[in-house]
Amino acid sequence: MEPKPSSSAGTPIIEVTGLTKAFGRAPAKRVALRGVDLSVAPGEWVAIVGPSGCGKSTLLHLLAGLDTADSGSVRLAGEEISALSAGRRALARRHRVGLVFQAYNLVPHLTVQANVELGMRVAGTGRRATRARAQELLDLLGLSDVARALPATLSGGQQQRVAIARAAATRPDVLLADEPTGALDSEATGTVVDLLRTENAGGRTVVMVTHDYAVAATADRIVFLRDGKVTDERRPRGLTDSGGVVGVLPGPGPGATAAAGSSSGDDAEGPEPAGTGTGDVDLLGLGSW
Amino acid sequence: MLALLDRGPAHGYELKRAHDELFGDVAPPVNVGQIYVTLTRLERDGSVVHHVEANADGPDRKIYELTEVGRKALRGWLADPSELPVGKSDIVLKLVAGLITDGTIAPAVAEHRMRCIQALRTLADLRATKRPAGQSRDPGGLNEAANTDDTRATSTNTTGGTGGTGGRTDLPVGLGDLLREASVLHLQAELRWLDLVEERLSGRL
Ligand SMILES: Nc1ncnc2c1ncn2[C@@H]1O[C@H](COP(=O)(O)OP(=O)(O)O)[C@@H](O)[C@H]1O
Ligand SMILES: [Mg+2]
Repeated sequence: MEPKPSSSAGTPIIEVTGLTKAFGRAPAKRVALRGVDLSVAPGEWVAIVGPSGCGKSTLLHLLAGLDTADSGSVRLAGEEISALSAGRRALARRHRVGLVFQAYNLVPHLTVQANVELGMRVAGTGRRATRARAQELLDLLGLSDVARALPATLSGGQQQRVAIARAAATRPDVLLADEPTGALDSEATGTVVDLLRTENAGGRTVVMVTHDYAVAATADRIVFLRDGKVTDERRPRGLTDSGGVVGVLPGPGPGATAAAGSSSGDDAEGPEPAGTGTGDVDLLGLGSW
Repeated sequence: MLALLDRGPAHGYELKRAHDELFGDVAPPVNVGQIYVTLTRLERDGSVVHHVEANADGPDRKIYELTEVGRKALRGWLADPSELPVGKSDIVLKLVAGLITDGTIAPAVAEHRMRCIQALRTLADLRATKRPAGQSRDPGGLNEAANTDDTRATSTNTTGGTGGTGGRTDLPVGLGDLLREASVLHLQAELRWLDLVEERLSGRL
């Protein structure tokens, strides 16, 4: 994989500072965000994880400019979006941001294909390019067979993939996805992760909310959100060059540690590999020879 | 080990290689020494026998093969109930120890969570490597490894003349995926449990 910029390099494409948001009034007031700071570099792939109700969807909606914060700021490519009028905000969003809603929000009376083409039509993309892009995404996500169906006739997992295709269709600078694999089995989850990987490799910044750690692990960075605050940030790194999943376990000796140390990437924030262990650690107990 | 030998006679190193090719994505390479210890024990039990074969390129080699006793032991083991993935894993023991001794285990939980996530990342990277983008099924997985192994096994056979097939792996398509998936599911379950631990015991870790 090509080297990715770290969050500290260059101008962030998303910069959030001191973001707070509450819903409702005094006795029934629910605080969703209690001062969130987050900076995302262009081309970065960030996963947001945390227990349900911790504010993940609220944060994503604020990043998309769908809602306004009580205090704090959201900058998109340097532009303060909370300062924009609703109309200008919608324009900025259409231009730069693709959003996959947790509840999909497909247009019920449009076919799957028309839903996917919607954003490109609005953006004035040519007819043939629009068709080709929609076809490509529907193929990639295994939806070609239902291109002419209405959303209501699809399974939850299919609707979810349509929502992903629709958000990715315009090749937005920033792709925001709320639980994009929430309704999917492991095969379809793999397909969606592959698509996100392709989109990210194509230069798109990806911020996704997920509670599937296997999905989160594919990102450049995992942001842990808890009770409306960022409590931790980590960079998962794979250690394929040291031989499978055992590379992340206490190794058989100094060799394994050396291999872990030699894995490339800006992993300054990552934890150090654990000290050398006994060598017989085995995830599945398959070594019971 | 018995299953590998059931495929044909082999020497220790061939068995090591076959193991590592089968489980390389999900388990550490097995130590050759460990193989010989096991073979010695199996021979004592009457499950395997060996003969020495001259090797033009190096020291003579012990070729092991399965006996009828060994074949029976293999069938018996296959029919035995398998262990359940429950109980006293290392992290469970640490949690309990921490709670009954007032020792703090929050760092251990955080560290373990990150290691699980890194293991998932490694498995995801392996999946991405072994399954070219746009392809929905792992066509080779271990079969790719099997092909390269076939070449090596052939050259071993011509130089060493072992006639052994224990090192060969021609496996059903998708087995690599299945082994990786087993690890993914176990890791996901472990991580969900760690979240639960944190949620229920917050402040007491
Ligand atoms: N539109 C809303 N009206 C009232 N409360 C809301 C609304 N949206 C979110 N909340 C509350 O804000 C908190 C965070 O919600 P949300 O961002 O949806 O969490 P998550 O996506 O992490 O599950 C929750 O307590 C939720 O009940
Ligand atoms: Mg949500």
